[in-house]
Amino acid sequence: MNPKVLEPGKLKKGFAVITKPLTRPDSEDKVTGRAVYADDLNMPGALFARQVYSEHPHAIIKNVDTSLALKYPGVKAVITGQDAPGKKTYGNVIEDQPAIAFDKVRHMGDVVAVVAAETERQARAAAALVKVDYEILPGIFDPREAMKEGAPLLYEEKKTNVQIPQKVRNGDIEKGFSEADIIIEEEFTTPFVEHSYLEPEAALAFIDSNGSIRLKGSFQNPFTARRVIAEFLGIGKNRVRIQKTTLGGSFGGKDEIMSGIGCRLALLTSITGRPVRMANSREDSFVESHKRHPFYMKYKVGAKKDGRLCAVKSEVVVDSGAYCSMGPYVALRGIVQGAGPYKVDNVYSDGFSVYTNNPYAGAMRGFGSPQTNVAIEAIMDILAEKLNIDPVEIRLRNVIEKGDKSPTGQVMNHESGLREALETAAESIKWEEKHEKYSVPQEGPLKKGIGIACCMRGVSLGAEGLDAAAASVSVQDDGSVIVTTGISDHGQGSQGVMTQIVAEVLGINASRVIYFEPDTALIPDSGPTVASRGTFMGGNAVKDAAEKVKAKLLKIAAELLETPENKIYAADDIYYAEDNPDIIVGFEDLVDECTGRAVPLFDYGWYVMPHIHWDEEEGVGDAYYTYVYSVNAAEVTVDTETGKVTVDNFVASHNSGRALNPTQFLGQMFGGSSMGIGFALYEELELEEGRLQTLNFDKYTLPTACDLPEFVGHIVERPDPEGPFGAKSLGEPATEVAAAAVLNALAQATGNRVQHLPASLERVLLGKKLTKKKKT
Amino acid sequence: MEKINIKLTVNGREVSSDCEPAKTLLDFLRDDLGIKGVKKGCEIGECGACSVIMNGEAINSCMVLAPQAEGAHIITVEGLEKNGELHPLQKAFIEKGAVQCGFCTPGMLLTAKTLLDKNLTPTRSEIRKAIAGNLCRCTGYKQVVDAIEHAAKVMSGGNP
Repeated sequence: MNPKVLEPGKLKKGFAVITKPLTRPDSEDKVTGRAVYADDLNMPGALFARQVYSEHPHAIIKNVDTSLALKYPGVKAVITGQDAPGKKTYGNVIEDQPAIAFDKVRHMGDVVAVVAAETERQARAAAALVKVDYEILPGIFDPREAMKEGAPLLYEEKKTNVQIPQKVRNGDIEKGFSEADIIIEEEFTTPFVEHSYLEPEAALAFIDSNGSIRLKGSFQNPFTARRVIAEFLGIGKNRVRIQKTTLGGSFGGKDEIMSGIGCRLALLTSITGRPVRMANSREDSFVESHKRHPFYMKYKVGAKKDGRLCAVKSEVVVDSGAYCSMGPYVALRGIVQGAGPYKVDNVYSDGFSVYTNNPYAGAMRGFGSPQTNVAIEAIMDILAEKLNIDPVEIRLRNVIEKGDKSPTGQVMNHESGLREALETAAESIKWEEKHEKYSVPQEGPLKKGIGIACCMRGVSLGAEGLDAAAASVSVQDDGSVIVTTGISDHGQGSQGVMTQIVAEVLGINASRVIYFEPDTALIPDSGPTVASRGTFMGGNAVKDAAEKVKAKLLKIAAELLETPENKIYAADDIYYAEDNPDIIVGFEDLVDECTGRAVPLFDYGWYVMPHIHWDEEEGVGDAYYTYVYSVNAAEVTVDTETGKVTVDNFVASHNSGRALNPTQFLGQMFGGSSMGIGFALYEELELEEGRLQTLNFDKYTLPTACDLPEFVGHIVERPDPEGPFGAKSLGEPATEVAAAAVLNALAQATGNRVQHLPASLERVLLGKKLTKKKKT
Repeated sequence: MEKINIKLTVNGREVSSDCEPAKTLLDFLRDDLGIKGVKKGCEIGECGACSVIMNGEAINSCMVLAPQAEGAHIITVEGLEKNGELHPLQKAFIEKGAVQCGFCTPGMLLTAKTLLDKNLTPTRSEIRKAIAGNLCRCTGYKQVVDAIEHAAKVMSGGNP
């Protein structure tokens, strides 16, 4: 094979694929209706499964009578909690959650039996015939009450409803307050929030040709689900294969619920020998899925006259509902980030996640920080007002920069970019002019206000657990490329980013690369796709795999180009010598040559997060390896006659390392901001003694296109040496400080601060929530 | 339940099928005709994921019984492509980053098409009003509005 000559102008400097706004590889399937979601699946002979939910928030299951259901036409099996062949409970932190309740029900979303029948209608009719004999127990629905001595216990043997207490202890809190010129004490609460992914949960299970059980469905975390299902069935993990389908959103939500659904379907398919599928209605999804944790927060903050913080003390009580799920880690992240992205030497925080008979809470985009950000950022504004300092200025005086210590005593080894982020956001929203204008009394019922808030976020799992991810890159002999990772695309766009990383490393066009969704039989366990770890962890693993393949390509290219490997560059499908651009070799020719020499153009990538030291006992140290930083600014109009708040302008400014795809980067920013605005103004699950009153989108209010502003986004790029091409995290930072900014703007507009979310019409207008009279 | 025969046109194709009278158009399209691009999100007419075009109007197919569509012309997302070429709206959604999880996308596209079929020069505010019945949890709508605005310009022969 003869190397060719480089066309003039072909030689490029800089990145060829990443940082470019390439379109997403999955978008064509999604605009044509070809994308296959879980509920689109069916198989010949598939049965339909229908679950029976608890009738009480807290009760002992005395007996489950399935005899009538079993006699119903078309019914092939009915399973109860007693039928679990292996482990009955699961959980990421505490194994307390049953796939099917067997001893007690602890919330209304517990499943007590599952029917499999020929048709959905038969399954539903038969499910209504399952008779459960309950011994009703007193319930507990407020975590603050549940912490008290003598409160009803969800788990008698634990002797307390408090899970694993978390703390942050840094410096000397009493000394900090003694040095303060001003001390602010405030309380805040946030409600249960629904993830509200547009696609309800669904899955299909069947027995594979080798006797293993295969599940396809809306699994956010296929490896977690595989572990839970294998343990539930009492079989090896290699006998359970999970393939996730196109996910219609997840935001942390399709985790434990999918493990439970997977267990039930796997058992039913193994009992009946038939494929079994299920699909939740929206109401089912509201009842059964986990929520964002309500936080009950007490804060005491001390500062000097010039606005510099000297002490932050907080106590955060977290309603975990019936199961632990991620409760302690949500509390931990909430308090680790709950002193803001600020230089403060004295921090003393406690986080208690507590069992109640409410729906269980778990991971949701932000994971504890949207709640505590509301509190600390409100207090920053209160301080600013009392000290007569501009809200932007007081933040500039406190923000962490490279080399500073975090509130947990961690020396930050990276640039925060917060100064630039604050300045760009303020300039973009015309802060100076508007803040002054809205500070003076406004005439008429419409009042305007402007608010700003900032935060930091630990990247990936950090102190929450082991952190590693796998990927594989395989170049086919025709020059097409397959990339797989253990990281799932829930809709956030991992497919595109992973594809771009491979193309950048191999010096090829991204259109050569195809991404396959995680399949637990084909790729090593990469942990869950949570904690905004997809790009950082998965991207690093993909980069590692691609670099290993590239090394093999370079070895052969070096021979062909008669140039040392380290002098060869690759871009746009061409490999060329830096010193001798007159000769080149095309990617396909190079692959051909490798194929002829039996060079395997395949490799695995593996990435492990650098070690950190978090002292759990003492509550101090490095909570996460690295961090990202966000600023949001909002301008609102409040109708003081109706309480209606309109967000007129919203600016998001983020340092998330390098933006690998600017279009997708902005998409995350805008989508995250909108979820934060919903959290601030609209969203709340109404509960009456553990019973959900909001079961669908008629009563649960999501922001529509008319409720949201024309978002403006700024990318403050500070590439991180540890991230893939300098990239870090964005999914959660995009959402976690939006509510704080909106609420600060609202406070300026009305002069009244809403500290109990959401800032609904009545809270804005009357300062309290109107509740219906209890049924007697 | 006794089935009744219904005849309608779906994506230009005449369909005749026996259907349970209480079945929604959504279930009829998905389960009986196998048209899976119509998505089921709430079944109470709130989320818009099941939007289809019926006789020129965007409707929630979960709120219409299949027999009510007797004789109707239905367009689903599968009917937007013409001769293997994507509709300008589909192209714009891809190009402008209007697609994330994609579950709201089919309904959003059809609502947008209904708007542009009547008004090729909508303002951003008119676009927002038109799609207010289609919930999206991923995008915050900005890039969706960008896409619809861009498609309108392409379709009206203007300079996008």
